[in-house]
Amino acid sequence: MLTDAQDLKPGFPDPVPDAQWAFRGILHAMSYPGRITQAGLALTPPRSLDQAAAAIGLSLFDFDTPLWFDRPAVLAEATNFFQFHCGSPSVATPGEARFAIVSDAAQLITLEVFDRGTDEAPDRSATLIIQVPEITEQAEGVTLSGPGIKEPLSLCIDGLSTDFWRQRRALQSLFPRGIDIVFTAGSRFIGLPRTTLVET
Amino acid sequence: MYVAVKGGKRAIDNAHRLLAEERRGNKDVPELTLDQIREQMTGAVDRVMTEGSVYDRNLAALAIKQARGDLVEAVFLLRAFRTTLPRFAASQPIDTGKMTVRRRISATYKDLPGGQLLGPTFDYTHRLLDFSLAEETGDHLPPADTAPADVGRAMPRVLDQLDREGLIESEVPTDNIEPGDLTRDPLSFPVDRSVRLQNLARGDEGFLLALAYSTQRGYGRNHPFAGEIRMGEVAVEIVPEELGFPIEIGEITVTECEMVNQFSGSAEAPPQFTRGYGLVFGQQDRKAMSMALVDRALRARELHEEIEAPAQDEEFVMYHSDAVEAQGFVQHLKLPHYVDFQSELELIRRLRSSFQGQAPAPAAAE
Amino acid sequence: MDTISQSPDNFHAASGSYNFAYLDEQTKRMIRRALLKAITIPGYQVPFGGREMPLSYGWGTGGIQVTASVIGPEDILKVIDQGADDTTNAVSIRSFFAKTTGVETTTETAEATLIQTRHRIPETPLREDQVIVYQVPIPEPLRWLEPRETETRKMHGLAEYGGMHVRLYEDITRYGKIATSYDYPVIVNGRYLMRPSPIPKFDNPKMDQNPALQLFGAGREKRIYAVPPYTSVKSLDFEDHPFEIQTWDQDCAICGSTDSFLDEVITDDAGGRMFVCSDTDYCGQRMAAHDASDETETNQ
Repeated sequence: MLTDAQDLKPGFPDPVPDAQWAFRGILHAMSYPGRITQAGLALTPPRSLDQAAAAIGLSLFDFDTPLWFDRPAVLAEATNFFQFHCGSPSVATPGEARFAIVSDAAQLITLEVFDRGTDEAPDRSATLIIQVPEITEQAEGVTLSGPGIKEPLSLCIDGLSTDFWRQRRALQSLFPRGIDIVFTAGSRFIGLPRTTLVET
Repeated sequence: MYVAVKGGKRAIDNAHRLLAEERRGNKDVPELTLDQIREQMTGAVDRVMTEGSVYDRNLAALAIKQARGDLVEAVFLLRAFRTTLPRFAASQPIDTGKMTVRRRISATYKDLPGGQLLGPTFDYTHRLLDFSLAEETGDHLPPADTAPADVGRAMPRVLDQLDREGLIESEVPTDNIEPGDLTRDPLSFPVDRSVRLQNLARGDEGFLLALAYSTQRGYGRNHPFAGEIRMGEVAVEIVPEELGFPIEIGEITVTECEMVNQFSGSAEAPPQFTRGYGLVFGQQDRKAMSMALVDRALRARELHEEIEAPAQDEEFVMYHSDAVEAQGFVQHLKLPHYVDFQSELELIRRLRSSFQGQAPAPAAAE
Repeated sequence: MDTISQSPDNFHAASGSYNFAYLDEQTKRMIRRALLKAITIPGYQVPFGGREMPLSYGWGTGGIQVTASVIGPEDILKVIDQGADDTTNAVSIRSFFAKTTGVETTTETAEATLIQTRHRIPETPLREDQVIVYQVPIPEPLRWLEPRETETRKMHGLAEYGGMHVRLYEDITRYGKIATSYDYPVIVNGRYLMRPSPIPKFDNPKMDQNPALQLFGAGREKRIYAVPPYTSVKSLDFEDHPFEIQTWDQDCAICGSTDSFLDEVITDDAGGRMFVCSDTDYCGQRMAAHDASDETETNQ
């Protein structure tokens, strides 16, 4: 719940163009999976929230998007932030969330708990925003291919549990059902839609 | 040398100017005022408000004026305006049992508590052109007599009477079910009744009238009786978040129709009467009754009746009821299609030439 | 009695102050979320809460809503109908956005960042920094086989597309070839059957592995779908009857192009006709280049 007005960080300084700009960033990231995109807006989000995660949330969340937070205590300020600026309800069950904010991916419970949609309505599925310490382009990382990727590209995403990529690969066979992921690191972020094939 | 056709912008600007001139008509005749439309074209205003989904007599009058009296066009104008309105609250369900009734008739009982109240209706007028209206002498009409006791008297709803006897299905309480809103969510089937009723209320009157008529002629027959039709004013209430109790924000005129339909029963349900419901803004018996008949026809699935007629087919009815959608798609055939047509032209020439075993036509070949 | 909505006085105030790109922010967010899901499920039709637009249904309201949700002040917008920038509906839509966003508009494909189109894909190849938005009248590729949405939804869920192959094969049996010349069905990313909108089949190959993001909006039917960049888009065909595009015996009578889609123009009432590029920008660019080289020659 809202504790003190002074604790509340401001949202977009200029909501209409800022939301559009942030959306174009996420549109680009989802269209070209794995390409590191910059959230080019100077926001002052709560400490527990990445610049990129704040911009994406402010542009996409509202009262129609129940949110789930993996670490409610750590993310209390973020919860208030989105509740105030977007009117988004937060839910205790990850399966009910349209969006999930994950701040500690190493401890993330299985990806299976999120809504993957149905074969007839695969769009009714969750999008995860996973905050990680760093995303770098390097050959030792995972290799991505699929729609939006011209030549396979390799990335290193820090802070994930050892089991994460196995779980993500297991989801691939469920297509069109699935979950879509955005990884954020500070103001940098990448999209990982369900169509992206991952090799470790 | 051939030069491609240009000047779309100028043509459009000129077309708008011509339309404005046509709308104004002969300038020797005084311009219509919104007050005149609102007060004297109430049938048009009521229809435009209902199908336009906005209760505002002034805006409906403006739309009618702007549309040169073309009501489908006026509905479209009002809808396009409505989309941009912010939403402050959802009202409480209106209580038509507490209506200040100006008209109330039942075809199922000769007399009933509250009585029959004819009110302002075309029903028993002889449809003879009244040339005295051409003289604009309406202001000198004597006021109508209404039995003072009739107005404001408690008028229990006819169907509640049947309900008490258990002869008609009970309305399923929907207190905890959030009504759908197809102005925010697209149709997806099967739909619940709230969405169906919204679709029918917004639906084109002509389309609903024809469908309702078809059920009476055997295409999905459901043996209707006009249980009750009432028209009058009801209060609209909202519950502001900060107050937590309902406050009245205004009053609207509505026509409500409750149809009573025979139902022979099924494996799950005993024989009993069933309901069809219609509700529209203003006074529109014809639309309210059509809506009620089609609502009942569309309950075929729920009542395990065989679906065999157009009026019982919810995808057919609900996808085609909206005049704003329908007029757009029918009229879009006016847009240029010469790329598609060129493709067809090329194809048909080739098919013909291979049919006749002749050399390819001059146009093209694959 | 008129207390439910705004009075005409408010209306006059409101009409002068529509939001950037007309749609309210709540509607844009809903459409933006639908667009993102459309990209993650290429070719799948995402239902969305389509709004009434001030333009008629069937006249581009889906494309307009998509464009309105994507467009920003930095964009340069191009609008075409049948390949041409100056057809009346293209003019009308372009002026709608010029009025509600103030963005720069262009007729040059290469200059545009955002292109809204009806029935054509420009001849000039698209790039990564461009987004193309298609206006779609009927999004459902299975609609002529099965009018019921509840059924077609199931068929997509199961990827049950045999009926479409049968229909095309019936053409071959009857005519010796597939008799579909526009809105020719495609399979996207090896999974979803998709209608490319009524573009001529000539344009289908341009959709495959295109570097630009392709978005599709159907306003009346309230569906949004997408083809992400670098995605496989395959026109349905058979091993013994591979997919082919239209070709012409003539060249464009204006610019002499031999590889663009040509419109047939009737020049007199005695059967005279000529063929010209449907893509007016492409034709104009070629003429400008030709004139420029002529001038260079004269100057030398």
